[in-house]
Amino acid sequence: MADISALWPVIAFGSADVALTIFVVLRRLNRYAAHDVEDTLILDQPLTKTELAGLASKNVWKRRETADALGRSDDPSAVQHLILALRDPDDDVRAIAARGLGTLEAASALDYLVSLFSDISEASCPTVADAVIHFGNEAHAALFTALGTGRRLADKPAYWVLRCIENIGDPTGALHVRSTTCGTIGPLLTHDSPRVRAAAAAAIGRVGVPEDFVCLRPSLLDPSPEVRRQAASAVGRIGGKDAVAMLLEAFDDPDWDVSFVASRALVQLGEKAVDSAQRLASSATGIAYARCLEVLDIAGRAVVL
Amino acid sequence: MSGTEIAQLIVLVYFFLINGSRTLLTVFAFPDVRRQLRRSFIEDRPWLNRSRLAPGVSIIAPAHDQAASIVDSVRALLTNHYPMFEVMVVDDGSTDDTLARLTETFNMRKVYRLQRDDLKTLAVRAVYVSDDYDNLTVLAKDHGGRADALNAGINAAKYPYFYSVDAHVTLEKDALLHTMTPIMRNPARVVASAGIVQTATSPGHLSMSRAIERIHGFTTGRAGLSALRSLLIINRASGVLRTDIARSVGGYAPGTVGEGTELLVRVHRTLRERKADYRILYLARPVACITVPETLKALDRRRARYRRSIAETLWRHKRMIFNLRYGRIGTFAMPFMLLVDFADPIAEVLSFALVIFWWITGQLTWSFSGWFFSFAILWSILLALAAALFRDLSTTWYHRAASPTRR
Repeated sequence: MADISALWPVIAFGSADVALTIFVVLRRLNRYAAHDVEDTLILDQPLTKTELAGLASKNVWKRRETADALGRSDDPSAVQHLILALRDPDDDVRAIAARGLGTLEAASALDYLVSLFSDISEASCPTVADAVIHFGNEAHAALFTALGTGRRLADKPAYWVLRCIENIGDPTGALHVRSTTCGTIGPLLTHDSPRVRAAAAAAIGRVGVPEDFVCLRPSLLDPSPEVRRQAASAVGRIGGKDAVAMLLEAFDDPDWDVSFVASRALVQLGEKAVDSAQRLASSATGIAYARCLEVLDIAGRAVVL
Repeated sequence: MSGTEIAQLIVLVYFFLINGSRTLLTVFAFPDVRRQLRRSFIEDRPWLNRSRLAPGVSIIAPAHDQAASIVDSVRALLTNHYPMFEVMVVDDGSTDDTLARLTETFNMRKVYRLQRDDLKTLAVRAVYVSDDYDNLTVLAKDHGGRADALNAGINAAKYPYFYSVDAHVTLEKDALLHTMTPIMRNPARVVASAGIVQTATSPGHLSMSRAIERIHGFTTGRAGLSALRSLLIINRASGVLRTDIARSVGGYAPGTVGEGTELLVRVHRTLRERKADYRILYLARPVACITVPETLKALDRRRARYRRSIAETLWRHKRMIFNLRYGRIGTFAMPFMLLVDFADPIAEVLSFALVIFWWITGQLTWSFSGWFFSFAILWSILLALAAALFRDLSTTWYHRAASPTRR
């Protein structure tokens, strides 16, 4: 007969198995029941006091879920609560509130959202930036105001404001600020941070005009490959005097991606630019020659290897 | 102490070591999985799908003699939900009409494109782009195997992250959104992320047992390793990796069976040697579906392949094992790979055979043998149940988060 005291691990594990099995089965049964309830929920119901109270909860997950629910509520009265939630000590609550304000298209919150870039963590900035971008051209004024405050912006807010300008869909909406593009964004092309310089070049590419090529020119020779890449891409969008010559020079850039972007940018500048590549092909060697052939192929001209 | 007693002690220590480490992983996995799932609830997938800031992803699909399925596979990849991605099919010297089917179906034309040579591969003969889909490219190259084809794809990839897929794996529509979400939150540190590869189960006992085994291994095992920052294995078609890192570490190693595992270990090794601050994450979310072998022979083939891939990775990076220089990768993850992923199936069968042998020959008492078997089985059941519970939790949260009626 076995000593029963030696069997305690077997008994303990056996009991745990039984308990866990019962728990899993009960959870499953509960889940199927929950599905029925969930399907009867209606989104357009007004916000309840209980839902709003969640924003004051000590439980951070509760506040996050409440901010998320407010953003989806389609209820204009949620806006003021979400603006208040932008001051929450938790980064995620603030980011979710920002997303909600974007979804609700609450233009009154734009200045709060743009200023949030200074206070929120880097990880949450993309969510806030997407919220700002969601407003489209309406956001330009707040973004340019943030850039034009005169003081030297820190790396993070400068970068994210520029990313917003770069990614707002319709560049024609920025016409009212175009006259100041070089004046407002230009100084950031000499910022200490390479990512800010790169974002500034990309932003000029989005809202700039051919005259802005003057301030972009030094960026094509920037020590950072990312800045040169964004500058080449921007030049392809806005063009400008000597733009073709500068892009052809970039074909020889030691960074593969810079010469790649320069070749695509050249095609964007039109037939005359492609003619220049054709002329260069007769004298160029190495990667510059290959890039010329690529340009000719993309432009639909015969490539003779 | 006699030889038999020493052997019995080794069996007992090994038994507790393996099951103890699995229990430890389950314990570590739980808070991590719970946090992920709660976060998934507050993430807004349609919002992420509209993001203009999402980094681009290149889906690289090597294909060799897959004329029968290639068109459907590519169509499925093109319907992925993600703001910016390209599909790059690498025709690895097919001898059937794989290439012809692609070029005809997707209206593709041959173009001249300069190729990077960061990773050495066999010659890329031609590049095709589609007139119907801006984000579809086909590379036609000489046959050099899967790793060589993937390297050609990495060379040609235009986006900062890539996702390698396999013909027998079906990607979830939200696979890129899921795997890229933690990267979007922390692009500076997260260099790779992967999710669960589910099994397409059929009623057979074999596929059911494989499905349970995969739930066990994936849900708690990988999640636990990820929580301990020791994840070394990312399954095929289950994750994204930063393209520049893959290029800088030399890409996939041609001639290896488990090229993905080997690459991931090399990424760990290189980044540890560079003293980089990085994370490789495992997400408790389904990203792909895989067919499981229906016959014992097919299962045996796949298991042998898996075992060989682990063995070759361990051999290539043997100096990392128990090497303090590599932190927890050297002191925990690599020994875990050796003892659990590689040696466990053989050691487990051998241990049970020895216990039975000792019992028959009277070297173990009936009560101890009974105790040992009952204990071993009950412990395994407990771990499997914990994995099932995790899976249940993850599915509940996943569906709750995706529900159009939630608020």
